[in-house]
Amino acid sequence: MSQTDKSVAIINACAPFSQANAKDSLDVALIFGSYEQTVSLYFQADGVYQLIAEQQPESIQQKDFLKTFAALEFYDIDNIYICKNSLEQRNLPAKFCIDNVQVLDRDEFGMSLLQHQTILRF
Amino acid sequence: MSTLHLVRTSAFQTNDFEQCLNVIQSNDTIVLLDDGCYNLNHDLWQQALDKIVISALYIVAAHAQARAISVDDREVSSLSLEALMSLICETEKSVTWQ
Repeated sequence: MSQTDKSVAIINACAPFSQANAKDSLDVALIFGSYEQTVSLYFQADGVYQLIAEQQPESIQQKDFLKTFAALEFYDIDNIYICKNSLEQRNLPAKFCIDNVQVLDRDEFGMSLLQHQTILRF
Repeated sequence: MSTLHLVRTSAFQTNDFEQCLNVIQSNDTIVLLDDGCYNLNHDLWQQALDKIVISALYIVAAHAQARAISVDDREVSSLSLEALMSLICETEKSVTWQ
């Protein structure tokens, strides 16, 4: 398999504000996007909190890096998946800060994720 | 002597909050802050409501607002950062769960 055939998946498993994982992950995704490397984003466990609508980071004096999710489409990052079970466990509605999020149940989520040759987890 | 419990992590990610509930006494106070705010929507919160009077269950309002967590005053009392400072200074003993 040549280098260009490889696809990259990024798993996001942390809530957005208390650690830098979420921001770092987004930076990495944008770098892959800049180099036209295919990248898919997966959100599970507390990572699902990153996509929830109407968050207000400014109330804890944080920069609103979540706004950057809206720019993903300009980097041709269209494959964004979220784990339905993780949403349900947290009593969260499927109401997100961007439109093209695909909600997958646990089996679909796993199958989709494991199709990728390279998987990074933040 | 009562203890102030500062809960800073999500019970969906770690079992810190569960450990807190295991040792808590009925006259203690719980404050949810940072990612601890997510615990308001965890099943364990019912245990907190069963053990502690609601006037001693707090969530830091700014931290909840940042995370788009709606606060119902039947489930928890809102706390400003200034009030949190006062609470910490008034309390003789505190434990931070993180």
